[in-house]
Formats: sequence, structure tokens, C-alpha cells
Amino acid sequence: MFKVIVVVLIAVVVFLLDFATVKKSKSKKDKKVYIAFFILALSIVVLHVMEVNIPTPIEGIKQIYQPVAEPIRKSLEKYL
Amino acid sequence: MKKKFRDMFGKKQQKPVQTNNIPSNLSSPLVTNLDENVKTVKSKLGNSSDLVTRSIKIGKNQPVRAVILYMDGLADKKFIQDFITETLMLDIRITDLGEGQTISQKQSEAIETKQTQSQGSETKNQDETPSNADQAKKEQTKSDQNSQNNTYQAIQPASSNTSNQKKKTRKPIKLKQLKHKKSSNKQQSSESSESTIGSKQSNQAESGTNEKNQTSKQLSIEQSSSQSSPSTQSNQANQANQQAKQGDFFTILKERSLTGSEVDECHDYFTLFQFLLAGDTIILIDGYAKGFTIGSKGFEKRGVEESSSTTVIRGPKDGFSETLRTNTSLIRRRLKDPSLWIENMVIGEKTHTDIAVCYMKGIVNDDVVQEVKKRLKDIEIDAILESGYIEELIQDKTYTPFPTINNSERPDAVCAGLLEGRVAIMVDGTPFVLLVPSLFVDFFQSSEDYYQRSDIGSALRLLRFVCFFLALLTPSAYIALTTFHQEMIPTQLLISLAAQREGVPFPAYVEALMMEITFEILREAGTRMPRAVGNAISIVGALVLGQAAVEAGIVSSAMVIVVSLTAISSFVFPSFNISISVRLLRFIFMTLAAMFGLVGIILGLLVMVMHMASLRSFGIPYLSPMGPFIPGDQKDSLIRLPLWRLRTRPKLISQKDMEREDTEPAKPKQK
Amino acid sequence: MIEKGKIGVRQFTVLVLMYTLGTAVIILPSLTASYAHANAWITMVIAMLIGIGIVFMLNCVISIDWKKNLFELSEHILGKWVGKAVSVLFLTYILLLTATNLRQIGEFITTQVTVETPIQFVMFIFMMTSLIGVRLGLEVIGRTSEIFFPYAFTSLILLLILVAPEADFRNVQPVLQEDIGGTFLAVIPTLTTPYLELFIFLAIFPYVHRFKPAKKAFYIGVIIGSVILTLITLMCLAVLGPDFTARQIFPSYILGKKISLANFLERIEILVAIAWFFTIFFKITLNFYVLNLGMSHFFNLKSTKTLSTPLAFIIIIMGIILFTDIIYYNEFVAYYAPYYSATIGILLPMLLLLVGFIRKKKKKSKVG
Repeated sequence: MFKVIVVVLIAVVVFLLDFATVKKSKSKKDKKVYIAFFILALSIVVLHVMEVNIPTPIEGIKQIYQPVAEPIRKSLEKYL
Repeated sequence: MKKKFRDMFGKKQQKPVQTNNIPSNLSSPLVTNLDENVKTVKSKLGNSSDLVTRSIKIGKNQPVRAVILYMDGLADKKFIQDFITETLMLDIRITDLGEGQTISQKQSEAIETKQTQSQGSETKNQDETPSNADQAKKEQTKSDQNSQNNTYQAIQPASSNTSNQKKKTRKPIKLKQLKHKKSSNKQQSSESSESTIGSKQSNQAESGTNEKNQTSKQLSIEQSSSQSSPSTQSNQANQANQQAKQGDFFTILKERSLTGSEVDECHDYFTLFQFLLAGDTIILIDGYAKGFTIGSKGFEKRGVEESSSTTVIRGPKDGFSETLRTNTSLIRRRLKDPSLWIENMVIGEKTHTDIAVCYMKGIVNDDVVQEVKKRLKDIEIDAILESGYIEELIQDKTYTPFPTINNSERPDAVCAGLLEGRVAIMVDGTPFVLLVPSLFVDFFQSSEDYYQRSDIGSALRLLRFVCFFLALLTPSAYIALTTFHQEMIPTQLLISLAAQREGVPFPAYVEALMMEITFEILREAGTRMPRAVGNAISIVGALVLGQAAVEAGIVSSAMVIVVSLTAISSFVFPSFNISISVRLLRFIFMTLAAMFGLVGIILGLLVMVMHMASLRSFGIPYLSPMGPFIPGDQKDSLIRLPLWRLRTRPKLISQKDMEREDTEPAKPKQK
Repeated sequence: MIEKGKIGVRQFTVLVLMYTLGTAVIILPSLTASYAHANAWITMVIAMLIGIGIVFMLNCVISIDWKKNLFELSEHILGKWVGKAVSVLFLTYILLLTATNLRQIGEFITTQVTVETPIQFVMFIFMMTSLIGVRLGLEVIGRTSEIFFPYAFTSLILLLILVAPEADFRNVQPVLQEDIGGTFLAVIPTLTTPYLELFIFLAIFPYVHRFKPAKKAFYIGVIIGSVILTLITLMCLAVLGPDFTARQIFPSYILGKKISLANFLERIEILVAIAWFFTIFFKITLNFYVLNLGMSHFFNLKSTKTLSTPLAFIIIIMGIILFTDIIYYNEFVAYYAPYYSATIGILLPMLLLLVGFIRKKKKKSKVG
């Protein structure tokens, strides 16, 4: 829990420093998208710090390409 | 709410301070009354003791009162005595001042009767003679004016107001007629002065007309022309012009008896003070709302001496001094070409510091000149005490450890810069001349590189670049190697290092930090302390902090070597600016090395170079010959090729007149 | 245009070269040697030839309208919605690619250079450096690459020269006698690392000063990079032997350790490693830059810098969670990544090219 608090505190500092530059662009859309992404990034970092297992997208890619990959894999592995 | 507060504050500040009799703002014009003028000048200066006022009388037949004003210490006393006081008081009595001519033609007219620009008289001449009704009105105004003149109180705004009001009341009358009226007014007043002959009264009359001059253009008086018929007017006007040219006392003085070379007129207190406080002499003459300024600067100054901040073994020894004119002359003496242009500017609301912008027209990039002038004009500051002020106010980026403006104390270096198409900014009161645009490599180039043979110059220049990295990275590399990458150190050295560090209680980072800070203190003390105690520093530095610290086991002797190497390397640069930034960055690199080892150093270098690549000096990329790689400019960046290979000027800095020379290397004849 | 800076053709060449060398120089010899053994360098040559073909195809794509970058181009050709969808595919790939590259350099540093430092820290400072680069803009990245290029290039060449005395060319003989099938099949994973990622330069092209020389520069950069890659693989095989090369994770770093000249020039592998820091840094920075560029196009933002900070943190965490360990990573890179990369790096640009071509023809026929 301590780690999470530290991360959030750091995030607040980063946000304060960083948001100033986003504000300069004077575009509402920029601000909205920025905040959305910031929350996304923060939640990922917090999840990681809390040692929650985040599923890796690699597994999904593997699943998708399984039919193509498997036969070539087999023939490649022959030469290992 | 915030805004309101600010407004209130602003309003309070804007309230003018009112003082009796003294014009509140400096831009108010001079008055015709001499005593009034002198009094105002004195009170404006708070009766400062260094203001010298000397009242004299000029002329033989009808002496005119005049006052010479100058600042004691700023002006050249001998010059004032020989060429101002003497000529005005003694020589003038035997010089022909064109008095005879004037007097013969105008008979009894006093010499101080004012006749000025012919333009006014001509416009008047073109007019028809005024109608009777107009004339009646005129007379009325005249009488008004006279009455006012008699009780003249030198409150200018009031009098100008009254004339303005008159203008308003007679709206239907055209401006030309108004002018005419005024001129006739003036004429009558001068007539009155003639009749009374008392110089005082004529003064007053003129002061009255002078008020008029403020509201409309200056008008002239010519007795004969107004009285004669229109047909003969033009002929007589020409005559009058001639007379005006020769006969005006003011012009006569200027043309015939003031022997100074820089003679100018001033019409208001602002210019008066500007000249006066710059060391010029002011002559105010009774009856004229203007004065002479005569260039007589002659304050104590340091001569042309060898520059102390940048020294060379071979090369000219003269350096700039604190006087702007001396500095420009040092450059002129080297560049005897009309394309060397020097533009003057005055910056600083209190200091009125003279700034000279020099460049070679035709070589320099005009955009850079415009940009420099624009940035200089935008400066609004009370004081410029050194060129560092200017540098900080016009540089491209404030928050960077790297200097984007070079400075030099050496005229030859500045000349070389000018010939490369740079702009030099000279500031009165400092020997340090700014050169823009300046690139990173410029800070490693000494003027001596060009005076020694090219291979030697190149080697020395490369050495400086090596020293840059040594000064920047030696302590951090030591930290990284001893804490993270021991395997990189040869085994025997590693053993001896380990043996040395055995007794040292601190980690390498703390050890290095301690020694580096100590050295910085030593260096700062060396610069600031009085010369007399100079020896003490070397004893303290060498013995106490070096040897004793090692013997006491606080630092390892390898660390002392590292610090010394860093220290010596940081003194190599010809420019002190870059050495300061290296000093500063070194500590950041040490910290990075302590945290991440070599990786930290490399990433630090990456960030540093990226930051430098993002810098610009007046539009030119800071890392220019390397940053955007320009093959043609490599000849004079890291190394210096022989002079006959330096055919063209740097590409980005000057884009015109690129050809620098066309010399073939000298070859002995082969038999 | 969101990006206002311009880079020169020389800078573009350097960036392409750095990108081609990038992470490939540390991982490729091992990967290729695992399947092609002594013939790994032949695999590299074949991959290079195919790579040049890919560059030709990419040049054709950008020739449709070279003033539009990859994301503008896909919206221009495929229409707004399909274009956006394709952009998402590109962006996801670049995000994963950047994270993978970051992880690779992190693994390299924590296993070889500074062993004690946790990988998160290394990835963090690397990413922060990249972030600074992206925030300073493309111009600065271009100039910086020009500054560091001489060092990176000469140290790689020096590595090849200095290690030459140790080479034993019996290791690579007999040429093409054994494992011929493996030699050709290994082209598939070999292609992945530099060549199928080259499509990101489609996003950089519009910001190069002149277009025609830039097309040439693309070829030159890729060819020089591939030749160096091939030579380094050859040296790895000749000096370390095919089996040892295959077993190492970073064989070219071990190659640097073999340098020994007159008992003085020893243990300078770190200097070689520094050269790779630079190439990998520019690869990550370019990827990250293109990611930011694409994101701001996707959301119609005003500046490329807007999302840089959150994205940097997302990439760091991605880099950590993508692969549990190096075995998992190796498996993915060898057996799955090629097809994913091929989809993004070949199929999508092909699609753009085809649709663009058809549209052009239609327009022409309409006009005619």
C-alpha cells in the first residue's frame, strides 16, 4: 500500500509539471485525451506496483497467429 | 478583483509629481529665460556639486548673457577653457560675426532679433495680405499677448493653453490665416522691442512668440516683407533668407566661433541632460529657447591594455577598454573598410548606456542584424552596467547551462567574428564585447589558432575538445568504473586502487563530491580574494587539501589525480563561459554515474547533446557545423585547415559574399 | 501538419542506418545462428535482399503522396473510418515494438553491463531520455543522431577490424553444405527485426527536406546497415563458432570481449556496448516519436507532445509485463512475431499501395 501512495504522489507531481505544457496548446480535446491517457497510465502503473497480474497482449497475438505459426514452428524446430 | 487591485496600484503610480516652477517631465522644452533654464537644470540635478555653471557675456557692442554648463570630471576642462570659454569671451570680440552686414541692412535692429527658417516666411509671403477685420483681431490678440508677456511667469503650459483657446474661439479662420496672424503678431512684438530697445523686454516678446512656435510651426518675422506689396515680396524674401542665414546670432555663433567639432542644438531638457551627463558642454544663451551642446567628453579612462581574461602567446596584445569610442576605434583600425557599419543605441532608462551594434554590411546576414536590433529595442530596463545584462536579455534561451552568446576582450577576435558575418554588440562601460550568433565550437576557438601554423592550431583545438570531455566526465567515469565496472580496469591498477581506497571510509561518489566541491571553493576564493593573499591559496590547496587529505585517509590519492586533471582541463578553454557550464554539469554527471554507472553517463550525454541540438543562437543551430552536418564548414570547426583552404566563410552564419580569399599555397620553383 | 521541423537527407540516412542496426545487432546473430548454424550469414544476405524489396515497396507506398505521413495516408486512401482502424493496428504494433525494444536494452544492460541495477530502473531512465528527445522534436533527434553517428559507426567498424585476428573461417565452412532448409527457413524470423519494422519511416518521410534523395537514402541506410549486420554475424560465427553463437543471448557483446590487442586494448567491449546504446536509443526514440505522431493524428490533437508522458509510462510497464522471461521472449520472437510483423509491415502497406493504385486509376479513367 505504501508503494501505491508513493506512486500516486509521484504521479501528481508529474501531472502538475506536465499538464502545464498541455494547457499551453489551449485545445480542450488535447486536455481530455491527455487526462484519459494519464489515468490509464497511472492505473497500469498502480496495478503493476500492486503486483496484479496483467495479461500480456503477447498471448492474444499468439492465439491469432497460431494456425500460421504452428507448422512453420515445427519445421524450424527440426533445425535447432 | 485582482485586476482592480492592479489598476488601483497602477493609477497611483502614474500620478505625476508636481513641483513648483520646474517642468514636471524632462521632455518639456527649454524656455527663453536664461535664469529660468539654469535654475531648472540645477534643481533637476538636485544642486549636485559636480555641475559647473559659468555665466559669461558674449559680444562687444551689446553683450549677450550666456551660461556654460558642464559636469566636472566628465568633461575635458582644458578643452572647455581653450575652445569654448576663450573663444566666446575673448576671440569673439575680434572676429567678424557678420554683424556689420546685418547692422548695415537692418540698421538699429539688435543682433539677438530672431530670424529663423525661411520656410515660414515663404509660406507667409504666398498668403494674401490679411483683411482689415482680421488685422483688428490680430491687434487684439497682440495686446493680449503683450500683456501676458509683461507678466510672464514662465509657466509654459498655461500660455500654450491660452493660445490654444484662441485657436478654438476662431475656428472659421483657416490655419494659414492663423499662421499669418501669428507672424504679424510677432512682428508687432518685435516692433515694440525695437521701440523700447531694452533687451529684457525684447526677450519677453520673443518668449511670447516662442510659445506660439510650439503650437504651430516656427514662423519668421521680416519687417520689410510684411510692409511691402505682394509683388515685391518674393524678391525680398530671398534677400531675407540670406539675411536669416547670415544674420541669426545663434547660427553665427555656431558657424563662426564655436570651434568644437561636435556641435549640436538642443531644444528640451531631456536632450540637454543626455548630453550634459554624457560629459558634453551645454551653452545656454539668454533669449533663446535652445542651447548648444558641444562634444567635450574627457573623463578619466583606462587606456588600451592587454586583456586579462583571454591571453595569447602570439597575437596582438591590445584589449578593449571601458570606453565605447576606444573600442570602436580599435575595430576600425583593423577593418579599414566602409562596409563596417556601426549603429548606436541607447538602452537603460537611468543609465542611458551607449550600445554600438557593429557588422560588416554585405557579409552579415541581414535577418540577424534585424533580429539583434529588434531584441535590443525590446529591452526595457533601468540600468545596463555590463554586457552581461544585454546578453541575458537578448539570448535565445534562458534556462540552459550553455552560453549562446560569445564575448571577447580581444579586438582581433571580434574582427575575425565580424569578418565571418557575426554581429558585435559593444556596451559602453565594459571591455567585453558580445558576438552573435555564437555556436558551440566558437567557444573552443582561440584567435591564436590562426596565428600559429595550421597543424599546431588544429592539434591545440582538438586538445581543447578532449579537455572538454575530460573536465566533464573524468570524476563521473572514475565513480562509474570503481563502483560498477571494475572489470574494465586493468587488474594491476585495480589492485592498487583497491589498496588505496582501503582506508577511505566513503563511497567513491561522496569522495569525489567532497573533492570537487573543495576545488570549486578554492577556485572561487582564488578569483575573489585580494591579490596580496594569493600565496595562501596555493599553500592551502596543494598541501592541506591535497597531501594532508590523502595522508589522513579521507580521500584516495587517485581521487586527487582525478580532481587535478578535471581542474586543469577546465582551464583550457579560451572562453570562460563554457568552463562555467562544464563545472556545473560535472556534478550532474557524477550523480548519474553513482546511480547507473556508465549507462547513466551515456544517457546523460545523450540528454545533454539533445538539449544542445535544440538550442539556437539567433536562428543558427547551436551545434551547427556538426549538428546539421555541413561538410564545407568542417574546415574550421574541430580543426583548422591552412588559411588557403579556408576559402569560404561559415555557411549558416553569413550567406552572402561567401568568398573569403583566393590564394594558392606558395610553392617553391622546382628546378 | 503537426510536426513543423524538417530533417535533412543526411540525417534521414543516419536515422535509417541506426534503426536498421538498432536492436538487431545484439539479438540477430544468435537468433539466426540457432536455425541456420554455420550458414547464418547467408541467411542474413537473403534477408537483406528481401529487405531491399520491402524498402522498394515502402518507397512505392509513400510515392502515392509523399507529403502525407503514414497515418494521414491511410486515412486519405482508405477513407476516414477504415483508415483510422488501420492506424490503430499500426499504433498497437508500434507500442508493442517500442516496449519490446525497451525490454531488450533493459535485459542487455542488466545482464551484461550493470548487473545490480533493477531492470525497471534501467528501462525508466532509458525511456525518460527518449521522452526528452521526443519532446524536443524530430529536428533535434535528427541532429543528435548526426552527432553520435560517427562514434557508433566507427566503433562498430573498429570492432569488426579488431576482432578479425581472432577469426577462424573454418567455423563457417563448408558453405551451404548442411542445414540448407534451416538456412532458408531462418529468413522468416530474421526478417522481423529490422526489415518488417521499417514501415515506421513512412511516417518520417514527409518531414525530410527533399523527397527524391530521401528515397535513395532509405535504400542506402538499409543496405549499409544490413551489410554491417551480416559482417557482424559472420564474425560471430567465425570467432565464437556457430554453436556458441546460438547459445548466447547477446553474442556480439561476447565478440567485443574477444578483442585483445597487444595486451593493451582489452576489455573495451563496453565501448562497443555504448555504440549499441546509441543505435538502440535512436530506434526506441524514433518508434516512440512515430507512436506519438500517430496518436496525435488519431485523436486530432494539436501537438505530438501531448500524450508523450503517459505513453512513456505505459511503454515502461508494457515492457515489463510483455514477457515473463527471456525464454518466453525468444519463443515469441522466433515463432510468432514474424507473422504479426508481416501483417503490419508488409500486408498493410501492400493494402495501402493497392487501394491507392486502384483509386488513382479510377480517377484517371474518370478524367479521361
